[in-house]
Amino acid sequence: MKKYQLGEFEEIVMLTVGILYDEAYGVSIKKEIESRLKRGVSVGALQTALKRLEDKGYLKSREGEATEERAGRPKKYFTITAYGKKAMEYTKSTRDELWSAIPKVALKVEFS
Amino acid sequence: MNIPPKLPLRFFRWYCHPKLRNSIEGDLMELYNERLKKSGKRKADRKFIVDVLLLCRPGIIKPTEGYKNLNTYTMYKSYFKIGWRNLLRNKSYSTINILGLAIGIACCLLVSIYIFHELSYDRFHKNADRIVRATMELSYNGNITKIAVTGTKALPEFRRVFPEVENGVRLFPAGAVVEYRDKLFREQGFVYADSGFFDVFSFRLLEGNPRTALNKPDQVVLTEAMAKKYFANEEPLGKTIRVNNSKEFVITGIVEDCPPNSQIKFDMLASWSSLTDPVYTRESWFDASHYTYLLLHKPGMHEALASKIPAYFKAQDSNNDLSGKNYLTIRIQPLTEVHLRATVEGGLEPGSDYRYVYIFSIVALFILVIASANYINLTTARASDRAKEVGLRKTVGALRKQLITQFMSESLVIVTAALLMGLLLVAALMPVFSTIAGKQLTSAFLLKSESLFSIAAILLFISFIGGFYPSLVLSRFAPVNVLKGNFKTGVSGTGLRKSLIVVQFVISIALIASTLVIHNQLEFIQNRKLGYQKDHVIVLRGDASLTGKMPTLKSMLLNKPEILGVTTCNQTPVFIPGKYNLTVNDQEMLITGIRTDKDFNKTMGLTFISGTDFTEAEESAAFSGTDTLYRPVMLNETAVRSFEWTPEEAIGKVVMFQGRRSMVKAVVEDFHFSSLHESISPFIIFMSNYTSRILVRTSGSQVPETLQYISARWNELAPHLPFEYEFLDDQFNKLYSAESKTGKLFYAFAILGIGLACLGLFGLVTFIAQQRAKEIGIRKILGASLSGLMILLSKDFLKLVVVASLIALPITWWATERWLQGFAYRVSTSWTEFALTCVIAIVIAFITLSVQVIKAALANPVDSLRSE
Repeated sequence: MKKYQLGEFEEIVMLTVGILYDEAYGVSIKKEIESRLKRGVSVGALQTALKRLEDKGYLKSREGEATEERAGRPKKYFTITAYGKKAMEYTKSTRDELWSAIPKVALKVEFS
Repeated sequence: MNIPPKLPLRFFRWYCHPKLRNSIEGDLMELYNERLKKSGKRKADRKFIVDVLLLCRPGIIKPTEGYKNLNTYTMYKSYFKIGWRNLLRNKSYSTINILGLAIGIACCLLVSIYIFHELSYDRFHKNADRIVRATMELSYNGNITKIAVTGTKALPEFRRVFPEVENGVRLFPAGAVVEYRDKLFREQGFVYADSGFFDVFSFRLLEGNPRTALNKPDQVVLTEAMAKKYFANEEPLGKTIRVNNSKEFVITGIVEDCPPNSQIKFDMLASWSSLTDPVYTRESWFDASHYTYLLLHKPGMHEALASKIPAYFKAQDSNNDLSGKNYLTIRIQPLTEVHLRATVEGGLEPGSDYRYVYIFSIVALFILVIASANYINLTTARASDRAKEVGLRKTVGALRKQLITQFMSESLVIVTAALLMGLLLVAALMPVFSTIAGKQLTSAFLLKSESLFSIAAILLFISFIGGFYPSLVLSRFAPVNVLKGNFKTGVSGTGLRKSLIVVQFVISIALIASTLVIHNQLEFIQNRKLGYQKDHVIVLRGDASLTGKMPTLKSMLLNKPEILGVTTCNQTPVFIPGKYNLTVNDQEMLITGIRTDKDFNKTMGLTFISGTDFTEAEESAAFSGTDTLYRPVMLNETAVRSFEWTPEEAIGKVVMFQGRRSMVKAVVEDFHFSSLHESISPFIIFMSNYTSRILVRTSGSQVPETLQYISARWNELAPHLPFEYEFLDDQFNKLYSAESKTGKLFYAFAILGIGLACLGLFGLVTFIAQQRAKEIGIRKILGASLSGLMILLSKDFLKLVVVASLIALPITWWATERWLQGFAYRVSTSWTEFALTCVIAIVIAFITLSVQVIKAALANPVDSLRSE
């Protein structure tokens, strides 16, 4: 069933937007992911993911303040919508279901 | 405030979606400033460029069609969408529409392929506009004879006398028996040609040198097909072939096969200098058997040349012993006109007639008109279906102009679909059409840019005429009336619809009637008493080497009981062109004649009116040349009549024939020795030892065995000659191939025309029956009978068909009468045929109508009346 589609990177972005709550905009999301997950994120990848999530209705955006270091360009803040929350929950529950379905033996990896 | 590199920034601003631009640019700036502080300008610049490049991906880039709907793109999209849905909703109408148009278009395209083929004749030569064909015109006592061949002198003399002539070629299609190892064939396309052949014409030499290929005696150039036939995988260049069992020819070149649209077609080209007989080497105006083509210096010079020729020949007349009414002259005609507008019959290839090109273009156009008329009719008739949509669109603010555009674009959708189907049909029907037209046609021309352009033009044209009227009608509706529902259905455009139906049926009936007339005439030709019996006669090709063996062959063949008679002659009686000199009562004239032996009359079944057949003794005297006193000849009725003799008087009369005293031995009934286009002229039969044709009359039973028997005897006696046979009636049918082609095409067109017209009628009546379903229901309840309802529904249409018949018949009568005038022997057009045509048309129309009408009349009135 393809009810809620959320790719791996998209899920990370959603989660990070959630973590940052009211402070989620392009640069802060990028930094948060980079510092927490120790992986590089390009502006391009992030912005496309954000646009896609907004198009799907998982995120909504509002225009924020413009600062000097942004050369007078407004920030675009993202927040999770109710639909987005459902999608996240759905993804999590399917993961959990899958985890719980794994027999314990399968995870007993012997290092030999 | 630090500024990042300008160019990448500008690039970013250019490609980025305007809705995202500000915020992302802000992010980029923030990151840039941060990096600048942390790791310096160079690194920050580099990272900025990388970011900009990585941002350049779908989702960020602005869409090409514009992100705000500033144009009417979506509107057009919706037009096509609605158009498509309408097609799907009314499948039967759409099928009728598209199928009808597709057939019309396919017809048009096929015919245009044929017409382009005809018009492209001989244009592939680089010098096409500079080449002219020279023909000869002779007058003898006021009898003008035009022949397509000239004497040997024409070319050399013209090159000497007229500065306009740059070069030229004489062609002599002699035909020859060609032998290479075990392969022995008669090649009809064995043509002798002057060495300038490749300078004048643009046939492409694949191997060999065009300069030297034909400049020495006993050289021959083969076409690719011939090279394959004789040499298969061997290299033919430099090999020799044996010609006519006497001479060896060296192969000096391989030439591409002649294109189908060339009047000059050959299989083998032999050098002119190989002809050593004085008949060919001596320059003479007479002894004409060569086709002469001249290459002029500049295009358009032929008129200047043509104007100079008469004066030249006037001066020559005394040298040629001609005076007064007797003259000889050369006429020239541009190469590209020869195929369609030949002024002289008997060219290298039988030409076409430009009138047939016109006729077929008109007929194809008619078919297209019928198909387009269907489209217009069905669309206007269905206008009411679309009325609500139009009302709503108008209410929402659509302008009339926009509605017209909408319906035009719908028509474009339908016509495009029809065109695609039409192209498929063309591809599928191509081989069949090629056979009917008797031409090697290819659809290659359809892929040329100019034809693609014209196809696009046809497409737009039909969409325009098909869509214009309906769109005018539909866009005129007043929204208030339409939406209130008091819109009268099917009223709009009734007059136009009626007249279009009449036009359709006029065309269909004219086509059917013409087909009937053509059919009758062809039938008439087939069954006409020709004066000889053409069935069950086998024609064998011989040559002079057979003369000595003829008596043996004859007696061998006659041993077989199935063989009833054998005779030799120089031409088959189907078509005898040979003319001879005859003087009767000191009056000279040209008379058509045949050289034959004593068995000709018996074998061909000629009827004697007076006198007796040639005898054995007369034959041997004629063959050995010992008939010094009188040469026995036979005349036909027409000849005798023209000398004002009765058949009985004629016997024993002495005439001068070919300069020798001859005596009339018998008078035979007239028989047709040329096509029925010409009336029978005076004819003479005389004996001469000539074996180029051998006619074998068989009983008609056991044909394969008989052929095998003849072939075996032939190979015994004449192993150096290939055994070739043909049936006389096949030869006869070839005389009328143009007419039978026309007949077949008309037949096809007539079926298509009436089929399409009925398809349209069917669509219309279906629609009308739906529209009047309630009326029919009420009438039934009130007691209307089935026949009454049928008459009610179909009488309007049948009236139109009757009107159409009345218009079509005089036109057809006039047109067919003109066609028939081309025949000296013809059927008379009778009114019964035309009446029959009308009956056929009305019956077909009625059957078409009744399918739907009966369905409507039998419907249960409850179904139509319970709604509302």
